[in-house]
Amino acid sequence: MVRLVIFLLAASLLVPAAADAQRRRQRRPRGAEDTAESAPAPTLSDLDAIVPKLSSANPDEVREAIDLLSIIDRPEVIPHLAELLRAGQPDPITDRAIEALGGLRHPDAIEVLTFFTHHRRSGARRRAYEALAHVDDRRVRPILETGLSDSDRGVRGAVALALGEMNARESLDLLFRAFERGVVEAAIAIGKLGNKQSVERFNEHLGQRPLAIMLSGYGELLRRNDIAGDVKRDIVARLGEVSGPMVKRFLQEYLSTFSERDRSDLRRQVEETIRRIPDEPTGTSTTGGAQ
Amino acid sequence: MIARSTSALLLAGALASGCAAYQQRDAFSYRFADNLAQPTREVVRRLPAARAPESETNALGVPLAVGTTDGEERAVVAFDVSTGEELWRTPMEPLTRPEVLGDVVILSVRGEEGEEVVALDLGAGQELWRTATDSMAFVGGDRDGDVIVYVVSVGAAGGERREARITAVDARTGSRRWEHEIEGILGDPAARGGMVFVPWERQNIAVLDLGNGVELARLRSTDDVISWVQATPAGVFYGSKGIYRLTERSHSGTKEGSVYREPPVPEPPGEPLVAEDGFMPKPGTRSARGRIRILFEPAAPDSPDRIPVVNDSFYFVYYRFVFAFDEEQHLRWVRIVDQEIAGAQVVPEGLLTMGAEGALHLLDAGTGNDRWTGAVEAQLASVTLRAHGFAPGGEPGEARDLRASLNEIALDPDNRLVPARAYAIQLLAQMEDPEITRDLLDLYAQRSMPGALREAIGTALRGRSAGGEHLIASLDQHYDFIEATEAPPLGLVVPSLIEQQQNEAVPGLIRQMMDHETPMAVLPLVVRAVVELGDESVVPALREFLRLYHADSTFAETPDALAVATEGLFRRGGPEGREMLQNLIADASTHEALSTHVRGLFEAEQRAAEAQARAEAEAAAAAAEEARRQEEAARPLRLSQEVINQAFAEHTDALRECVMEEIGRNPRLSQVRLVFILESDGSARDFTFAPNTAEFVACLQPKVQGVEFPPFRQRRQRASFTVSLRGGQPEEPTGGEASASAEPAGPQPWWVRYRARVALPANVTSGGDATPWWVQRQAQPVATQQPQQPPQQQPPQQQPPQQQPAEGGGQPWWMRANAAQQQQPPQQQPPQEQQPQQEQPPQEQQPQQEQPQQEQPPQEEETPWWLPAE
Repeated sequence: MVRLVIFLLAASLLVPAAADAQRRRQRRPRGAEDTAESAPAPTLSDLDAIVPKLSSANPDEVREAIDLLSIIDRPEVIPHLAELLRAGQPDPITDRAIEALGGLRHPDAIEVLTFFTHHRRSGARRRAYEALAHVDDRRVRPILETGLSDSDRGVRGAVALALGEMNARESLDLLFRAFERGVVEAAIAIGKLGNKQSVERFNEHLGQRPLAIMLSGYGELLRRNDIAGDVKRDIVARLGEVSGPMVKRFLQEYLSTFSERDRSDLRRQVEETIRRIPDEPTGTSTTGGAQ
Repeated sequence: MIARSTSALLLAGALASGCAAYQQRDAFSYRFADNLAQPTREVVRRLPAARAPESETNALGVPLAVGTTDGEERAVVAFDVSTGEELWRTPMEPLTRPEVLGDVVILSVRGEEGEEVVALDLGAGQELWRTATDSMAFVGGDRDGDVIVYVVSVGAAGGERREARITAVDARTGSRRWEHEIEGILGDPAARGGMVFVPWERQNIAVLDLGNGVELARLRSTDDVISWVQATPAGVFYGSKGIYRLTERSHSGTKEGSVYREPPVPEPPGEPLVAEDGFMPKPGTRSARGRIRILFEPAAPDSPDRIPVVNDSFYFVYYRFVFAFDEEQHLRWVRIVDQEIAGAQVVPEGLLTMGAEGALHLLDAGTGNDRWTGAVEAQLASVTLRAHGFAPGGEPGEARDLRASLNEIALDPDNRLVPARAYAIQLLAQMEDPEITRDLLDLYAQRSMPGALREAIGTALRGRSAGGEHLIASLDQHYDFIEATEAPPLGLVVPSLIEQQQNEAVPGLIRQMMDHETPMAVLPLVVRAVVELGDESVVPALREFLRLYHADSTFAETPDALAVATEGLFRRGGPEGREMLQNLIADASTHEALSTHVRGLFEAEQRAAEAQARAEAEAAAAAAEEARRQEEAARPLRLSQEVINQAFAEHTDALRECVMEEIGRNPRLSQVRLVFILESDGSARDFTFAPNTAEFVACLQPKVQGVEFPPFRQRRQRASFTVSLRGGQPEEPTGGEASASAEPAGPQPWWVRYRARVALPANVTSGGDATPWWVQRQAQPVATQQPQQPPQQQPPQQQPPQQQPAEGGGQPWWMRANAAQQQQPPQQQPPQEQQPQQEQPPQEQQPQQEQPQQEQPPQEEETPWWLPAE
């Protein structure tokens, strides 16, 4: 029962976190969609009319101007948003402007976003890192890596997930160090980026770290097609050694991703491992494994 | 048991003989006179000559350690220090630390009747005698010859019962020689020279005759406390936190009057006494008391006023730490020994220590290194060392680095010893080496460092002036989660930087200010340092900091750092900075508290400016008032006639016109006279004219109204102006009479006629066109005025006639006329007031008139005789 609770907690923490990161990558600012539905989409020619609103004393007007700029979706709006941010704004406007810059995904925004990775408010830093992660530029990865040294665990977690999302394999060693220092989100990133050697290094933490955290990394590894079958079988075998209801449920979920016609050794091993793990007695809680 | 029986028999015998030997003697009386010179002198003379301490050995002749064991099987045990051999062991329940008194060991134990004093044979450890303490505590004893004197006392630590008893007994048998019981507390006695010195009520020392217990002398400290007395081969010493040597001067009862010194151990923790408190039992069980001590051994005095010590060293022992100081309070060395020091003794080569687990170290006096080590097999609760002269030899080696040793103590993991570790930090910080600043920072960075030590490090750092570069370098350190590095101890570093005015730290401080990992708690301090240590170059950073966070929620509740930044911008930002601050106030998103603070800055500045303007205005007004006062003070009390004449001189032409007209109407006119009132501001009023014909008055009135006079101090004065148209000789007929120069009379103007009558100076042209008419019209000889002078005031012989023309030769004619006018009839000018003026020539009058004491009331001097007195 305890394992079940932990598993559910871990799932509620990690899976939504990953999905949320994915959503953030794809979404536009909220106001942008509303405005787009109610009026013709603004263009660069409207810039002169929109920019003065950024200086308005009315916060709603400022927010609307930010949304309109993000809908324009051109690098020409970046200096205006950057100027707005550097002038110092209340939290909601700062956050909205950072998100708008992230939505633009343009390298010109790197400088101001990097500046905001040193903001004293952790929410602003986290958003700045997440916005940077959207920019496809070689300068971004080192900047994100500095976020793993942040004192705020939320920032560290967001950066670790972002590094995993942006496929930053060069950051794998640093992610391991972060994982060893307690950045649990790094497990997912490691699962997304790791190779065979990484799996072996990751395995060393089995029994040392909470099982739910380890399973979040293993889940990513098992889902990947570029991981060899023998590596996956080794993972399943290790999980079988750990055993326990949480592992059993994890493997059952994993088994459900296989095709009915799949007759691979991996599937057979998963089925065999599930069979070997005893069911949890009703009304009792189990202990053991690496939980 | 045999000894106890013997004692009982002796006691019974004594009782049978009428207790004559045990009668209470005359001692400890409050009527006994203290601090008397003669008894003190006699006591000092009875003392044996001072000797070196190593000359005294114990009865066995080997270096001894006699202690009490700790643990289940408690005992008193004696060791030969040099070999570690256990000489004897006597099981008992010791309560106090054993004292070695000649061939006897004395201590108190838990007995059948409660606490009992027990004497053991030093050679074999067998019990010699035992006696009950009657529920009092054994605080110590001493021996001289074959007499042991000991004290039991109760109440030193408080409580209602305050009793004490001092007993002199035969050392080997315990038979009593005499005894005193008092209501009060006595301390551990010292015996020497057939006398016993007993500390009493922490203020007195009663000196008793060891033979009969009679009090010989008493010393009373009038400005100190007496907690202990010790008799050593070098003399008798007493004191509390300082050391007195008993001399003939001791009867003064004061520090200054006695031979006194303080130990050169600067502010040791735990406030240890120089010796153990003689009023408290010396614990024979494991106890903190006695673990913190200052140790020294008096040496034989080389001069009457000194208290030299062996090795010239004082040793401060704090459990396992030993600090050695020289006579000048310089730290010589520090040392950590492996065991808590249960007992220690100063010996010629250094400090002999014995640990609670039997480890022996002879710490070299010069270096603190081990000159010799040894060990005994025992768990010791307390130890008394009697190892005078113990000198096993051995090489001490090179002295350890003091800085390293102090660091070692500061880093000692034993948190029970925090006060001594803080003391080591304090001593470390007093060293000049710049690297010590880095040491202190490193110590502070230790995760295990207790808060009290961090505080001590902070205090120590702030007091340092060297090593600022390490403080600055520490600013390069920043928090990093992955690297597990912490931010520098800014709460520690920044105040020190400010204290040391380290302007070079500004770049690092700005980086810390902009680093989001800098803790909020110290951020205001960091910003303050940027403002205090920086110049105008910090303004951009302050602007950026303010701009970025003025509306951010991070500082909504605690805008202190922003407030400090605004102060910096206000002070150093110039007009642009002021403008930015005004914009912050106007920005609705700025935190209200911050806006209020900035407004307050402007308002305070305005208030200060207003206050300054007020102050300046007040100062200016005061200066003006002072100038006015000075100007007023510089004014003459009243105007002299000469000044009045000069004022009229500027209007001569206008006056002449009227005079000429009047002459036309009245050719016999000989004199024109104006009398008027002068106000202190120089204005004139109430003119009276003579002649006062309507035409003349109508002509003259508007002209004289325009005459301006200098201001003067007196409220007003009467004044007059006279024009003598006939040269001051009224009897002379107007116009036409021949003068001395035979000038033709007739239609010529009066001034021409006058000029012709008087000899002109050589430099005055006869035409008179370039020279004013009144100058050309030379004054008449004063001799013509002589008849009007009072004879008694102006005797002719004092003013020869030939001198008078010279006196008036350079003056305008009306001045001469005025001089004549001033010489009014005597009845209107009192002689005593007029005399000074009349005795002075006219040109000398002005300075006199400006002197108040010589000035005359104007109404008496100036009022013409024909005017009614005002």
